[in-house]
Amino acid sequence: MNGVHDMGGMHGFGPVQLEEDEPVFHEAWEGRLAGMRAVVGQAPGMRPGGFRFVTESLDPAYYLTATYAERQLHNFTSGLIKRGLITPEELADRIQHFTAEPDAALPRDDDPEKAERAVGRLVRREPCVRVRNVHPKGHTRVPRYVRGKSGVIRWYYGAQNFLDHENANDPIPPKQPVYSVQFDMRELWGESAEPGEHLYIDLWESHIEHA
Amino acid sequence: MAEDHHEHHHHDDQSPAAIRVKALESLLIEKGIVSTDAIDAVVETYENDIGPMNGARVVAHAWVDPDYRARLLTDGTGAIAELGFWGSQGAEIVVLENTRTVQNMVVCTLCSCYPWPVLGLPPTWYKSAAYRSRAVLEPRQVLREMGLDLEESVEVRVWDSTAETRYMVLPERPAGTEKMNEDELVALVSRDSMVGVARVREPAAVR
Repeated sequence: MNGVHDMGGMHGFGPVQLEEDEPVFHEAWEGRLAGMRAVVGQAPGMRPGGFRFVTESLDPAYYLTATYAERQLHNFTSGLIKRGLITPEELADRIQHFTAEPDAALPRDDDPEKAERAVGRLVRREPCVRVRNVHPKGHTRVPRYVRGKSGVIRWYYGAQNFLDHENANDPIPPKQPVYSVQFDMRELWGESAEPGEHLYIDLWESHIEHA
Repeated sequence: MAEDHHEHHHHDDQSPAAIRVKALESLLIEKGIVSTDAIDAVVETYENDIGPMNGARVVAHAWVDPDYRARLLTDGTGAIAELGFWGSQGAEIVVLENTRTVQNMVVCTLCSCYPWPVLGLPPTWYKSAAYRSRAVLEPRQVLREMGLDLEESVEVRVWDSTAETRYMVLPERPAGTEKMNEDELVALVSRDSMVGVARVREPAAVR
């Protein structure tokens, strides 16, 4: 679309403003938003690029005056509502609550597995991993013989579509990092292993636990 | 922690955005969709583990190891993963080499695409309308305003990141660094030199 987001070659925006020692997040809320986005991920079934189109469809005057983080907040909120994860009514109530009592405490919940997965999508992890010992009834790309076994990440293949699913019409989940994981054959086959051999297999982030 | 870094900024915990984010966080926690420690962990990761220090390591390693440099320029993603950097916004990284006669610079006019695993989240100037609009129209003038006055003979190559490819610049190793080791070189490499809007300063200028 010929929107204001298509900025290349436009005039009138003035000089590029540099900021010395810029922090990663200018406001604490920007960090909380980034955290929530990393945990929730892109809406299942949303086509690649869909997120960008939502941004581009913002009111042009808003697009130009909002900060990057404010535009993300707008998108994130509308995505949560569209997916039915929250309702506009409960959000309005909650906004009213925190407007009246800005210092009211937030509920707290800790879930190390969620934390692990969110960070795992962003950065290198320790290369030692164990394959989750799960036995899904649906389609999976994890053969039985590696489940529960420990190996070492040897290569990173970028993010790919996650293909495991129960039903053919299940929503498409966000892409995930894919790794080549190396196993010592003795780890897989014990005393039956031939000596001096390694197996390499491609596994998705969801298939492994970081040891 | 992070608060120390941005004392000079105006903080407003009661801005509409801050209130809205609190409302969202409280709802998503109650529903079990997000957890407090997961948000904390992501914030810490962005603040401490993902950033231009990763790219600087890649650059310094390429400066001291010609074989690595060759791999980096032919398979950026793979060579960067060798040093342990990968993740979101880094599925396909292409590394562009700057020389005396060629200055590559990177922009994303349609959005703000940026190679997170090596450079972290983009700075405000990279996301600004001014940079996105002007980098493709008058790059030499933009570079001049940002402090890099190029000789006429230098060819400027602007790369607009419209696809899923992410670009990182391998800046030229400055004179006077021949005796420096990799760790010392890492400290010289600035974020802006890896976006291609600056050159790496000679060591005397750093001290």
